[in-house]
Amino acid sequence: MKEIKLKGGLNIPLSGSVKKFTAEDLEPKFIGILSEDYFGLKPKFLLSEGDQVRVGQPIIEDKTNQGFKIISPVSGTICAVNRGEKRALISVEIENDKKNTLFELNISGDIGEDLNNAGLWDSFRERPFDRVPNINSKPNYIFVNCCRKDSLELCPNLIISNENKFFNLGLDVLEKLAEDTVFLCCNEEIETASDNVEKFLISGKYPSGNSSAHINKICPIRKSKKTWTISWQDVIRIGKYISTKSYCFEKYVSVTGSACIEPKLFKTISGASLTEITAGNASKESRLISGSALYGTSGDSYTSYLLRHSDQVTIISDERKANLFNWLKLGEKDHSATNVFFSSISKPENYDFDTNVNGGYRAIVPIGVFDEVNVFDIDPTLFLKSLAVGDLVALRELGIFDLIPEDMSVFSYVCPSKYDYVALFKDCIEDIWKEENS
Amino acid sequence: MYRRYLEGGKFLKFLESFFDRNRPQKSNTFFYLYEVVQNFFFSSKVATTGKTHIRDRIDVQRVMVVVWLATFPAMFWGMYNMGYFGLDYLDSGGFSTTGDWHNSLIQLVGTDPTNHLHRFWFGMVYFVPIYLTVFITGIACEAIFSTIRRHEINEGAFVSTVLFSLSCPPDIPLWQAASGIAFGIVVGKELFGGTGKNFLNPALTGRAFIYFAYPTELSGDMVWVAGLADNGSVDGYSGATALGVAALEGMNGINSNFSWGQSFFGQIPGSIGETSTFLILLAGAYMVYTKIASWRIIFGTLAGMIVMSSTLNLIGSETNPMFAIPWYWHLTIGSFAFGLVYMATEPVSAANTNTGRWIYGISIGVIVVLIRVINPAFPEGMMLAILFANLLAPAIDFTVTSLNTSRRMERYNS
Repeated sequence: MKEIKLKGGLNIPLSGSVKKFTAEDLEPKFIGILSEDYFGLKPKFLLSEGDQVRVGQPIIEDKTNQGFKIISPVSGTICAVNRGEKRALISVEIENDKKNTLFELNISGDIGEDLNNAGLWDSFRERPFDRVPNINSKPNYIFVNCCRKDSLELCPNLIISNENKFFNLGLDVLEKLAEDTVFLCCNEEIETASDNVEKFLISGKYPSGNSSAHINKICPIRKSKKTWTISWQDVIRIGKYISTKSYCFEKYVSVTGSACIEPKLFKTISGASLTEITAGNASKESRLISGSALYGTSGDSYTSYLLRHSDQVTIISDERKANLFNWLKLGEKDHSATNVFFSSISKPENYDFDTNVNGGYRAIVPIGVFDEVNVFDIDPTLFLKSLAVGDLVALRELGIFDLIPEDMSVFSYVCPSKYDYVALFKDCIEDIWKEENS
Repeated sequence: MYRRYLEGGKFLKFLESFFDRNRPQKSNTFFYLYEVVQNFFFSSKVATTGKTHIRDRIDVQRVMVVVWLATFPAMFWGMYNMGYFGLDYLDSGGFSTTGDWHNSLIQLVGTDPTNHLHRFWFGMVYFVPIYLTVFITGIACEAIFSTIRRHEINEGAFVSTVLFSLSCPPDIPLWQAASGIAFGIVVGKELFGGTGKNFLNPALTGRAFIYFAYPTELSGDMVWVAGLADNGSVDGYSGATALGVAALEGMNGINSNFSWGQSFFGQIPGSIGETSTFLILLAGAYMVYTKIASWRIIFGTLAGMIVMSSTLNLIGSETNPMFAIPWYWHLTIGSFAFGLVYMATEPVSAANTNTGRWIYGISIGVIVVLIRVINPAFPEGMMLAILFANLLAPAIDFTVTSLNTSRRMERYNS
């Protein structure tokens, strides 16, 4: 067990966290499969709108990744296939009939094929594009992320220690899959059966729970070595699949946030509808987010479902006020990474957070906050400026391959000029993907 | 409490809904003008889109307001100090008038050289017209340019105008101040795309422009005390700044005119805002605390200045008296402190990496001493040192990041 203390980062004092491990079961009526979970997806539909599906039945095959299937987590009817601009897929919505009729599960003995059949292959993400890896490929390194990514979600250790048997079975599978090493990154000590897993204790402020920060510190990305990431939930799911030899789509979700009436933990199914998870628990005029307030998706009616890799649902106030002479206010309850407000002296217990941009859009004024909150091995101001102008050549050199969109959220948060670096990052990495695959 | 009072007002509700109702489309020519006026009264209600749903409460407007507030100590002391020297000069020369249009306003309160109020009023009569002229010209240039070029109007112009006004000598003719800030805003900033895209400090660009365009009015010993240029010199009265004295007579000259305490607390003639090192450093502490100014740049500049001046002290010179000036005098005379706190820390034109900020600061400190001591033509080096360092900043950043990038590319391709 080695310890890594990450410098930099930012503590954002949000309220409404889940503290106790008492999970409520919830079987949702509606399930959504969202295309934004699959980078570079070119779908080939095996079923169409109105068709009946069974649990585990393939719905979509990816043309860019031969053999990779996205399967249905429930049985019922495909009630909608939503498409956007240029008929690009947005989401597939499935109505759950709660009968749980199963599609036949083939077990061949080949790990990759079995995980694909069980709908678990998309647990893995391959760097640098954060994409589902090719079927049949094998990683050199797998990074298991057991860190608390956001301060509001329930500490994963509480769940992992409860499911320790399955977690260790899952780790065994990863060890067989990885050609070199499996790295386990956690905030608190986790008991593992095998000695071959290299364990790291990570401490630091947000976003030190992101895998990019761990990879940078432990075993930085090389072109010749494949690096995959997986989150603790999926390791447990793989473990359950191995031990029961049947489909496992269960997922623990912390429902959190300042506008959440009672923060609690749910045990539900991946892709569950957000409105069902938060029913009766959200205050008026609030925004439902799959993920954290810093990095999450607040869906419209087509996409209001739990994302594949969200362990958390956040509800925050959507009520926005215009302040008179805002530039003179003391700011007793305003949070900032800088010390321009009175709150830096008074340190209130609760800060006000809402969905206001809090300012006008301006050109980047690099006052130095980017360097302060940076936990990655990059020169942030130059990197962000290159993102803003879309300089793909410079971005490759400045380290875009070491990062994924979620890493940009802390910079979006602190930016006084109100840039959305997450969106800029996505555009740039998509352009690079197109350049390299055409 | 105050907020409830303000928000309860009917007029304010009317004003808020007025702005909401008349919000123009983004394609409208005057959208950005509208936006900046609305933001002056009411903060925006725009909601976050994309993946990051909450944002820091700071914005560029707030950043600029912090710097603007930080100039107040230097500004008020500057006005008082201008009155102190102006009235003292009038008294010692036996004049009853400053000899120009300021006089009628000054006479409204009085010209008693020992009265604090009279001193302050005297300074206000000189400073406020300069600030108003510079402010209106600067903001107009920014607004016109941004409207034509269709980009947002940046609050950075508020800071550029106040800093430019404070860097002017007391007796500057208003038309020169106006042409200076116009040059600074347009050539120093707007031609390159506005605040955030400028590679020179706009206020200093304007200051350098008038310094070289109107040398007779803006240098020498006559411009540092208000009224001196109009009435002419008086026997036994010197209007020279400490830096001017030092350039000619070295430490002996300084010691016979000023004490270090006087120059540290600001009882010396000079540009309006530069005199009190003490108040400027206080403002600097505030800006470093709020994290708007980079402490790396400030301490880098101090370190560079101390090392370079001490080196020159050791080398020594028989012909150049400036070699003997110790670092603590360099700190208090001339515009070193003013430039250090307000100008060098301008984030856009400075280096953008933490290591780069140290190098940037140190190079300012070294260059300012070199210009002051070794250059025979200009006694003041801070303005030029910062502008030189602005030009160096991209090269500094390039060198610093190339260490990071070459290491990464080597690893990535291995």
